[in-house]
Formats: sequence, C-alpha cells, structure tokens
Amino acid sequence: MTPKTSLVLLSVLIPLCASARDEYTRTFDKSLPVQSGEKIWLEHKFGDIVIHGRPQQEVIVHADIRISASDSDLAKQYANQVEIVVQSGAELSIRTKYPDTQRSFGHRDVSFSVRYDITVPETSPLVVRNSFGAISLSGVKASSEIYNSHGEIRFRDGRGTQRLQNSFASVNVAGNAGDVTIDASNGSVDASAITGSATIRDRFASVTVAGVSNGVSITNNNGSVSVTDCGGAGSVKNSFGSVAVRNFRGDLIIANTNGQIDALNVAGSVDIRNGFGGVRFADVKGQLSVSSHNARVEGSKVGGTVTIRNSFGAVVVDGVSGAIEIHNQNGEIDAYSSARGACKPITLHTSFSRLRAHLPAEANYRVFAKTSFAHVRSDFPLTVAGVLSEGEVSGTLGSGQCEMRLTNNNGSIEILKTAQ
Amino acid sequence: MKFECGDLDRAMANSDLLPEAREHFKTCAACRREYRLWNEISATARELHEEWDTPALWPAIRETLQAERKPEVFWWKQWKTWAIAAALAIAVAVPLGLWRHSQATRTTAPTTPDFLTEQALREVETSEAAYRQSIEKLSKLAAPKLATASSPAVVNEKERLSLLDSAIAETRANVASNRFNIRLQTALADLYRQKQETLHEILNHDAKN
Repeated sequence: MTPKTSLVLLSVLIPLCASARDEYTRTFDKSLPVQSGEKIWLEHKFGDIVIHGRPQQEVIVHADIRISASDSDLAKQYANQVEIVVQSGAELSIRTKYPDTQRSFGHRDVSFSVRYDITVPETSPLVVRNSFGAISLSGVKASSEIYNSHGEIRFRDGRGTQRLQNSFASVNVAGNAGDVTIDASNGSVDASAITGSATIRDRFASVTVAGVSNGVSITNNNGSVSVTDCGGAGSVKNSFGSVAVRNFRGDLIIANTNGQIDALNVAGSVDIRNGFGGVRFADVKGQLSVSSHNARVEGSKVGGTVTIRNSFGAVVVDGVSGAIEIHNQNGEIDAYSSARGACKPITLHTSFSRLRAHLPAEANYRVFAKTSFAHVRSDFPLTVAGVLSEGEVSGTLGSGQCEMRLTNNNGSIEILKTAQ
Repeated sequence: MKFECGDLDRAMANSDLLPEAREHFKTCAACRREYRLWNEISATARELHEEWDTPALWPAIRETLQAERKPEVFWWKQWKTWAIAAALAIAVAVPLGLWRHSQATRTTAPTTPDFLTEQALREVETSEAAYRQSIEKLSKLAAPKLATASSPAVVNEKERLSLLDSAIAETRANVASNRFNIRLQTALADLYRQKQETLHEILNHDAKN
C-alpha cells in the first residue's frame, strides 16, 4: 500500500471509528395534581435526580432517557422500552423500569441512564431512593427520607425532619429548619445552617458540621470531624481521625481513640476522653474533664473545675479559674491557677517527672507537698507546721483558705508565683 | 509542624515526615493522589530496573553522531509535510463534522456526556485490568498482615476492605449490563482507587510499626 493510499484510507476510517456508537435521547413529561401533604415516592437507578419544592399542588415530572447502543435503531428501540411508571392513589409513586437487556437485546451492548427533573409541592413528604446517580433537593418544606448509594446527596433550603442515607458518596446539607439525621458509610458529610439538631453517623470519611443550633451528635470511625459554631448538647465519637470543635454553645462530650482532639471556645462544660491522641482546649466556660493516655494534654482559660487524668504525656493547663485536679503518670504537670477571690483547691500528682503549680501572688492554701528522690521548692513563704524536709512540706501559704496537695515520685515539686 | 502540600516533596525524601504527610492526606485529595502516583511510579521503576554491560554503546553513539554531522533539513520546513498534514486534517474534519451534525439533528443532544465511546471504554477496561492486577499484588502482600491483624487500626482497615469489596462486586454486576455508562465506570474506578489506597495504608502501617 502506498503512503498516499494509507492516508486516504485513514481519513475514511477515523470518522468511522468515531461513529461506532449511537446515542438516543427520549424525553418524558407528565404533570398531575396531588393532595395537600400527599407523600411522593421515587425509586430510581442509573442517573441523577433533581427535585425542586414549590408552593403548588402539582407534580411535574421531566425525564431524559438516554441510551447508547451500537446503532441508532437499537438505541431508539431500547429507549422506547424504558418506562417511567407514575402511579397515583393515596400516595404518588414514580419508578424507573428498564427493560431486561439480556432478554430483550441479547448480548448487544446497550447502555442507559435516566435523568429526572421533578417539581413537587413543597409540603409533600418525600421518599427517594437512587443508586449510581446524584440526588439534589431544594426547597422541600416537609419531612423526607433520601436513600442513595454511589451518588452524592445535596439538600438545600428545606424545612422538616430530614433523614438522609448514603454509601460511597458524599452528603451535603445546607439549610434546614428542623432536625437532620445523616447515615453515611464511606462518603464525606458536610452539614450547615440547621435550625434543629444534627445526628450524623459515618465510618470512613470526614464529617464537617457548621451552624447547627439545637444539638450535634456525631459518630465516626476513621475520618476527621469538624464542628463549628453550633449549639445545644454536643456529642462526638471517633476512633482514628481528629476531632475539632470550635465555638460551641452548650455542653460537649468528645470521645476518641487515636486522634487529636481540639475543643475551643465552649460555653458549657467539656468532657474529653481520648486514647492515644493529644488534647487541646481553650476558652471553656464550664467544667473541663479530660481522660487521656500517651499524649500531651494542654490548654488555657477554663472557667470551672478542671479534672485531668493522663499517662505518659505532659499536662499543661493555664488560666484555670476553678479547682484543679490532675493525676498523671510519667508525664510532667504545669498547672496555672488564675482563681481570684474564693480559694479553689488544687490536687496534682505525677511520677518520674517534674510537677509545677503556678499561683497568683495572693494565693491562700494549706499546702501538703511530698516527693521521693527529689526536692520541694516554693517561691512563696510558707508557715511550716509539722514536717519539713527536702522532699516533704506541710504548711500554710497566705491565710490557708483551702487545700493544695502536690505529690510526686522521682520528680521535683515547685510552687511558683505567676508573673503579674 | 503543620503539614502543607508544599511539604510533600520533602516528605517523599525524608521518611520522618511521612506520618504527618499521611495525616494530611486524610483531608487533601490532591496530595493523596500525588502520593499514590509517586508510590506507583516508584514501584514500577523498581520492577523495571535492570543492569547490563554495554561496552559497545558509546563507540556506536559516537559513530552515529559523526555520520549525522551534515546540513539538516528540518521536517517543518518541508512543504510536502505541510501539504499532507493539511490534507489529512481536512479529510478527517469534514466527515467528522458531517457525522456530528447528523447526530445532532437525529437525536436530542445530551447536555452532559453520559456514555463512553468505544475507544474510551477500551481504555477504561485496560486501566481497570491494570488496577485489578496492582490490587491483587498488594492484596497478596497485605494478606499475612490482615490474617494476623491485631492492632485496632489494621482491624479497622480490614473492615473497610470488606465494605469496599462488597461495593466493588455490586458495581461490577451493574457495569456488566451498562458498560458504557460513565457514572458506573467512574464509581468502579473510584472504588478500586480506594481499595488500593487502603491496602497501601495497611502495608505502610505495618512498616511504620
């Protein structure tokens, strides 16, 4: 074959290859009235669903039925056999019915998808099921149940109790007046602007929540959790991802196993339990309780009582206005009390590490400090009563209003005056 | 240290930074992808590495260079090349344009592509086969670790693998009857990617501990 012949042949073959398959699109349109509050069911597969809630008593269904086949006749033949089944009665149901490819079309390669655009009365409760296609809802002002797999769920500007369940794709909620429950297994969750509560369960992806007014409950396993500007009762459980809560108006419980925990600016009390991840906190108005292992615990500005248990990690707390109780093992302790007025008790214990209590100049404590194989040192003059040795001191600091108990093994104890 | 995308190169050169990098990957898809590609390239490079003696190589190169030291006529200065290229472009563009025009008038043109072309499907299926091969290799490597998994992290990854396997089986069953559907093929590719990443995590976790 000469080069010239090859060129001519190529110019013919390339377009032929490109046109090896044909696509055909058929549209389906139907409008029908529904009763006020009538439930609408939609069951679908292979294609996106877009739902708009409108102040009307009519359902408008539009569907694009798209087929790809080896030739246009086959594509058209298949498209004509795809059914959009709309049944009305006590409830309205919409269902996509695909023909059996094997039975009707042998082994020929037909591929298909159907995309819905549906307008519903905004007060009609919805139940939507889809797979391999996204679901997008906006303006739904009634309770709904949305189930999807392998396609994202997007929910906008709704009202009512919403339940959204997905696997292998994300769930995104922006704006709902009412409670929202989200179950996701392997897709990220992003929920914001909810005037109600948010209950979220996920397993292997990140959860981001912002602007939930009436309580947040999140259970995750192996993904980060972020909660910002929320209120009510807060509960976050995680295992292998970080947890960060910022600007929370209410009491907060956080449990994690192997990830960092941050709790910043919390109006209520905070209860933190962690296994092998660090803990940071700041601006906690209420009480703070931390239980951790093998990691550093640090933070500042706590209005209420601080109780911390740790092992194999340092504990550093600054600006505590309430009582302080810290039990550590093999980790140093630095505790800064900022208690003014009424005396707040302090109990600090560790071993094999340094222990330091930092007090304001006007502190008034009955002091008991004891260590072994190290010494006790104080910036304050102590009125000693009873025992006085290098490793043990009992005495009074100022007027001795309340108790300060400092104990250590194999580590020093220091009572230090905070710089004014 | 707060790990950022700019630190990725350093992390690849310095294994001390890898724990922070891995933490960063959990929230950064771009870096995760880059790291995965880097791993794949490294693995492929290791497999391809061969050494052999080539005493005759340099003399041969020198001879070739000497033989080619004569006035060069660049291909783009040759009018014949331009003429052929133009003819080819016209020959391809005109029938293709006509075909597309006929398609547009025959059916309602979809606004977004829902289906693969034959060529794209072949490429997707080739990639899928390569992915599956790579996953099989990784699975074999990870099998002993998974069989004796005791750490909570590996048990957790094992659980994720089982979730991904069931999703892959479900998606493949659907792909079998809807092969040109882009969303299905994308979902399947994404599941394979996640499985590969999870296996990497298991192997890396074991190396780390």
